Amino acid sequence: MEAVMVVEVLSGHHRVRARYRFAPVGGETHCTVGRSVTCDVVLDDPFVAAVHARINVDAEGRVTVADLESVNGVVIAGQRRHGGEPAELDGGVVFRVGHTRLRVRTAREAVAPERPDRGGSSWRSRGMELKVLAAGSAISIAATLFEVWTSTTQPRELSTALVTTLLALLGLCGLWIALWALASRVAFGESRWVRHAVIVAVVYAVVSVVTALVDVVNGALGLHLSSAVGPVLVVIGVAVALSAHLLTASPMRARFALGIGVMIPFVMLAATLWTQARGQNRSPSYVGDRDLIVPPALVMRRGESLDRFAADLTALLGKADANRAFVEREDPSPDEDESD
Amino acid sequence: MNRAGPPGRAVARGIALLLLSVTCGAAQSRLPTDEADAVSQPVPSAATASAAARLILDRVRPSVVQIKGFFGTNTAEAFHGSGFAVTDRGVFITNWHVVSEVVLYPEKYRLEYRTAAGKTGRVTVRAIDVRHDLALVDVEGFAPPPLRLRPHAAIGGERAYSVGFPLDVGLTITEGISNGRVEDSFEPRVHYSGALNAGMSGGPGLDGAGNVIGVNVAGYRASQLVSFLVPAEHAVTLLEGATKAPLDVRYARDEVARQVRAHSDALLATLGPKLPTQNHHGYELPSKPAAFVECRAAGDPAPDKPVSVERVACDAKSSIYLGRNLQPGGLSFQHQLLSTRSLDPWRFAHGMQAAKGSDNLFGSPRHLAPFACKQRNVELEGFTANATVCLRAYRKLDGIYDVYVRVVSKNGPRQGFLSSLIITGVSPERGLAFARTYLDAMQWKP
Repeated sequence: MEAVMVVEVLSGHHRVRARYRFAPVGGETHCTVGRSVTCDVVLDDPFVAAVHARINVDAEGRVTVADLESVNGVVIAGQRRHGGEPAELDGGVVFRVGHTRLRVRTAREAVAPERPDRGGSSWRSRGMELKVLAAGSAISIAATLFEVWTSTTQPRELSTALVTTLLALLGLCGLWIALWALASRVAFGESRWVRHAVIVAVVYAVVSVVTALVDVVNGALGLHLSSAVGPVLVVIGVAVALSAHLLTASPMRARFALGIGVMIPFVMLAATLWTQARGQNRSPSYVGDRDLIVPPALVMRRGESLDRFAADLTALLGKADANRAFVEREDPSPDEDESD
Repeated sequence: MNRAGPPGRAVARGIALLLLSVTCGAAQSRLPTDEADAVSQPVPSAATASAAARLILDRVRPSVVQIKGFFGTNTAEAFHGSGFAVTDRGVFITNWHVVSEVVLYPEKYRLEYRTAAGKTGRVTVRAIDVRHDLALVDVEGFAPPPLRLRPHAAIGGERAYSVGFPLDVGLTITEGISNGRVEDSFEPRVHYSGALNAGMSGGPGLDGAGNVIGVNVAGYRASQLVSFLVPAEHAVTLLEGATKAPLDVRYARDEVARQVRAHSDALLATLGPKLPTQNHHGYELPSKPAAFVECRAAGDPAPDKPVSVERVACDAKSSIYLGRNLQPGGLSFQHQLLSTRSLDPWRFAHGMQAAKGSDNLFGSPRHLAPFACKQRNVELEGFTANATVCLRAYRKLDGIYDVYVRVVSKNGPRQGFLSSLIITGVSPERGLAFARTYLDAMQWKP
């Protein structure tokens, strides 16, 4: 196998800035990296030594990097190496010299097959994605229209409400997709519009259908679900969408993207629920509501008897006293309410 | 609620009233000359009446004092009211609401009196009757002859007078007519058709012979000359029952809570174990349970509303003034009847859900702890409803609670109701038992 070697200097987004090709000499290929003009790969990086490292490809195609007694060494897979034995690099691994990312490619690497060119349009190649996008958008729009129809009881206000809601929805989603497309373009040089739109449409559709179903089931069966269920479902959706957008629009590793995508919405949810609960736990006028009124035809479970309900009310005294003890401890002198 | 706060209360409210009266005074001052030109007959009787007022004022002047409250060591007053002597040993009657801050916050407030002649001194609270808004106070170093209390009921139509220190403008007498006992009031009141202004609280209401028929207590802010006196018999009872030692401030709050509880429990007992009902669109719902409960019904007359709403609201007008934003002892309930001809059951149910959140439950975090609630679907007589019952404690008053009930019908595809009840300052057992009574009364009888 020919020990030809290409050294690529990468940007922060792993795009190739410069490419150096080296032919084998005596079965081996090698080059030096540094700031000095005597090096084969010359870098303008103040954190790089004059002659910083040496890259070698042997006859079997094995790639090694050796630090040439530099101050900052060579960083491979997060580990900084100084001098000593040359370290072996797996094919295509990105390593760091100073603040510059480098990648070494050899004849051993597998090359992805050529993508068929369909006359400048990639529509048919995205057939599946487009079908999912269409279905997701249709469900999302239908769910939104149904929601507007449900809450607008005056017929003459319905058309205005439908149009304004749809416009707002399309505007916001469009903006969101555009921002992610921009991020993709910066990171990978392609916008990935369809992929981002699919993520938004599918997540929106699933979240609206699931929350509506949960509400109806809660009302029909009298489950008395906590009012936090709705927000939690929405946040799960946001976490999924955010992770998917990050994976599509940035070169970060999957684990990292998932971590950020899940952490941000859940931290925000926890903070919001905590603040809300804090206010409610201190407010003397807060009465929660855990039931949705649904049409009588959907009510599937009878209520409990009045005797049983009344018997259970005695437990309220202990809770009311506990609430009093809580506010006396946590909020001993609140400001007087302004209203009369 | 358009019932005025008791006169002579917090400074801010006093200023609002004062401004109002100054403006009205300017407008009214022109009236007599115009009227005197047009109407000439009542001159002789007016002259007689004024002479009587002058005689009465001269007679009661030594026995009426201004009672002032001070915050901390301030020499500027925080609030003031009036009071009058009922024994010859310096025991005076005033309103509970004039001295309530001192009883509830003895470490923050102090009381002083000032006579019409300018003499001042300390005042201590001897006994309180929160239900009837009366207090017995000891006045230091001043023991004028007492006014005579006339404990039998005031007669409707007799000439009456009211004396006090309104708005800090000095001892004042107003002349009016007693309209006898107010029939529609839970706590007994005499209806006095005469002016009562902030600061006159606790002063005497007098008959033509100068006997005390009641104690000035309240007026309607938005109405003219509709004022109230506490009947003198309650002053007699308080005087007879008062122990010799002054009220022990350490137990004053317990005493206040006990009296509020007694008032509310008596109120619920009066309303009975079964509530009368009225049929609204097939639902039998609690209706006016006693003469003193005021009920109002209204609806939106617009014919093209997809959901038509009727509201019935009842109020026992029985709250007791304990302080700003602290008026327990009340009971009120309201029903919202919703129906539709044009909407499908799905959207109608959504409309009901939206109407659920419209209850305006007020509660000051300074005085009240948060609610503890229980919400369930419950089988009422002939229909299923979603019921919520809540209980909240008073932060500084032991043993009294507010009970809140919310009921939403779940059986009608195109008609339904939302109903809510709030009882304030009641014992939990009585309050929760009344919540059951309220739920028991509801029926589906199309």
